[in-house]
Amino acid sequence: MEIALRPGWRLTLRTLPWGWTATALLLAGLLALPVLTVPLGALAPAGPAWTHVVETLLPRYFGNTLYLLLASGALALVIGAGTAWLVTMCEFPGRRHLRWALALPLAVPAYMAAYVYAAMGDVTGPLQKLLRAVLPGNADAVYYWNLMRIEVVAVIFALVLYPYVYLPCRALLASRAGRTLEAARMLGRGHFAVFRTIGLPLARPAMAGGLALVLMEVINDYGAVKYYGVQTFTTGIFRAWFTLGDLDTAVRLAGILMLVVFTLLVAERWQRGSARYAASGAGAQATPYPLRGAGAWLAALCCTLPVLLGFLIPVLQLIAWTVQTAPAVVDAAFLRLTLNSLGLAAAAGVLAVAVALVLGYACRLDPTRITRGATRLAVLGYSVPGAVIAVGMLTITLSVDRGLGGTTTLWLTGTLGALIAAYVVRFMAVAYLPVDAGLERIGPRLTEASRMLGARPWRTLWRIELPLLKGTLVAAATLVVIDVLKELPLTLILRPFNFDTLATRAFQLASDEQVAQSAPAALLVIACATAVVLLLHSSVDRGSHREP
Amino acid sequence: MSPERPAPALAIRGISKRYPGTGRDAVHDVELTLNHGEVVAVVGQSGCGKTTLLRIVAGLEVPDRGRVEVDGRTLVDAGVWVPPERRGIGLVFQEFALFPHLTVEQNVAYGLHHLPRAERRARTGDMLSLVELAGLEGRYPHQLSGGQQQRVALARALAPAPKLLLLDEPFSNLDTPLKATVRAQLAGLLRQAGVPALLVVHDVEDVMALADRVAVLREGRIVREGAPHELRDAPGDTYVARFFDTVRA
Repeated sequence: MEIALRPGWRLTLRTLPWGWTATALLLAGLLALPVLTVPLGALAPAGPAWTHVVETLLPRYFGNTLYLLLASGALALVIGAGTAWLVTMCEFPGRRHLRWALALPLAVPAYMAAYVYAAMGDVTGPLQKLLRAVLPGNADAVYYWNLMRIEVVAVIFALVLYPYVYLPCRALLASRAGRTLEAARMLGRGHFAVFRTIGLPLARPAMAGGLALVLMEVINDYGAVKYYGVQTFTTGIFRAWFTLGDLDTAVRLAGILMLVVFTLLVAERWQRGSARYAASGAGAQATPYPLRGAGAWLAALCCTLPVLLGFLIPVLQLIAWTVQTAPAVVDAAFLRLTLNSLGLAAAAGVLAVAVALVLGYACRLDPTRITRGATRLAVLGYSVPGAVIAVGMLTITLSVDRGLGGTTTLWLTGTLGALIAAYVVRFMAVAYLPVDAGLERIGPRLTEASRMLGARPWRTLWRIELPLLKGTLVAAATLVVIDVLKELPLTLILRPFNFDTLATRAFQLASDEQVAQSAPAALLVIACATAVVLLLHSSVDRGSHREP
Repeated sequence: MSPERPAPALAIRGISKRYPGTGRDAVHDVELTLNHGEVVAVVGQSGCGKTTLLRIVAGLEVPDRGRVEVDGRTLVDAGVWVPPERRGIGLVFQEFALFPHLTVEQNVAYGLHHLPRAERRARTGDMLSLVELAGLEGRYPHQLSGGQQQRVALARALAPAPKLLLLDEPFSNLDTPLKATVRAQLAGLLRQAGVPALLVVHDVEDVMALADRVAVLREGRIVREGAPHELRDAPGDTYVARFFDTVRA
């Protein structure tokens, strides 16, 4: 029998799950829009304030941002990798508890830690009171030290961000590298030599990945640098928009900031590519070195200090202030703030997970370069600072509003809808990665089996993937919720007029020198985040034991 | 050949498929016909394209060229594409692919969603007694032995009364002591159900026990076709001979 041989692509076009692919492409395009607007907008003619910014402020923005990146990055790397090595490779008092406690600073937003420390070192703060009480004959002494310095900000960043390095390093040392490290010991190398020759090279990709996250968080921060009066690109964006009212200049600054971020990402990718060791003989954790005497106590101290400074001290101080101020602060308005925050976060969480599911499923139904490229675009927002996304979103909503002819009415700008959409853009990756991993774990067979039994894609998703992914979806949504609760710069720029969340309220009170009054809101955010960090940590722990 | 002769249960005509970046066809110009009630085995070394061929018939892969017909209805050719969920073909997966969150009964009833509740129950019950699993309706897949799981997969594939049944390495996930029993059971069940079946296997004993006819695939092409004992007795070339060798050893 003769068969007409026609080009294969016609068959492929007909066999595509059109609705899914089209929906995924559309969603990815929408998600990428606020991010891609920024570099395009940066090419437009300069705004009126641009010359002023270039001549007087740009060098300072560059210098300060670079300083913070280098100092916080180096310090976080040392703390994160060092403690990871100690808790996995050494036996010392308290090791078991420090293992999980070292992840806790992740729950403390940098800006909250920053203003707590600033207030603690203040003339009326607990530190000076303590010194006056302890040092003899100094009852009236006032210590005019200046804590509001860029060096202090860098240290605070490192103290709350080091878990981004600690967690992947520890996971790698505990699960994959165990046997390799034992082999090195069996070959007669000393503890430090094993760390230097085997531990560090093996952990390098994990360290680089963690470091990239630390640096992106440093760039993203607005609250801490603003509070300490350190001028960076992010404060510059705020200044251009809120003080100078010049969106074009804000967009240009955002464009430069994006360039910095992508340089970082390329560097991370490049360094991973040049050093990808497959840790062979995956297996159990290596037997730890028993430390004795001073060494053991030193190790315990080294692992306790980060927990103390990055979590316990700020949280205890916040608790103390909350006890003082809660009766006055916690009222109907506070409840409203809480509901605002939770409502926004829940809406963003549910929406982000729903979009992630559609994207992930479309990639499974139509696994081509196009759908995969689209999802990569869709998760771009996670590596872009919140202020940049906010500026991109603002550009879009303002031009849409202008297009709708409304000079008096703004249909999109300053609405909750735009804010929630921006959250989804910013945190898409947080929802997408677990959902994608979940779909990967289920694998294609069940989907195929369902389709062979006559179920179309929607029905298959509803009956097979959704029930199997229930836990994953809840976890993914929870992660987004926590990130939204902590988020500050994007919320400050895009929130509706007179609309506050726990984070913005805490920041405002702190900026108005009412740090103690800001404590209940801050504590509530940190409490939610802590619960999630602990939950995640226990599941990561279980996961690492299951690894064959 | 009389003109009224009914269409074959399955007609594969000139099917070719190449995966991007492989440089050669995974299956090349394959022709194969299945008659009603016939069980045909496709055999060959791993990587010869057996599973690809099966997945093209199922609609889980798209061929570059060629045509697939079931019962005279074109499922795919240059101008037609019927998605897998509308082909009315049953597939038993190598790894069974039972839905882990559904009970045995729900698994078997999954493809019967278009039936009214009472009929669905009745049909599910019939299928479970056919595969001798009545009484295990409420169990979950992980509570079953490998042989039981395979029978659930078979019952699930047969429940919507498919026009054709595909089996991909149905025994590879079973322990050797279990295989002989399950093989005998499956042979009986296929005869009982009377559904034409195309199966991919790599064990010559499976072929001898199950198949009416066997097609030998080599590098994507069908190199021999015939009754199992014919091929065993007169393999013709070393590739075929090597496959049947194990039986004499």
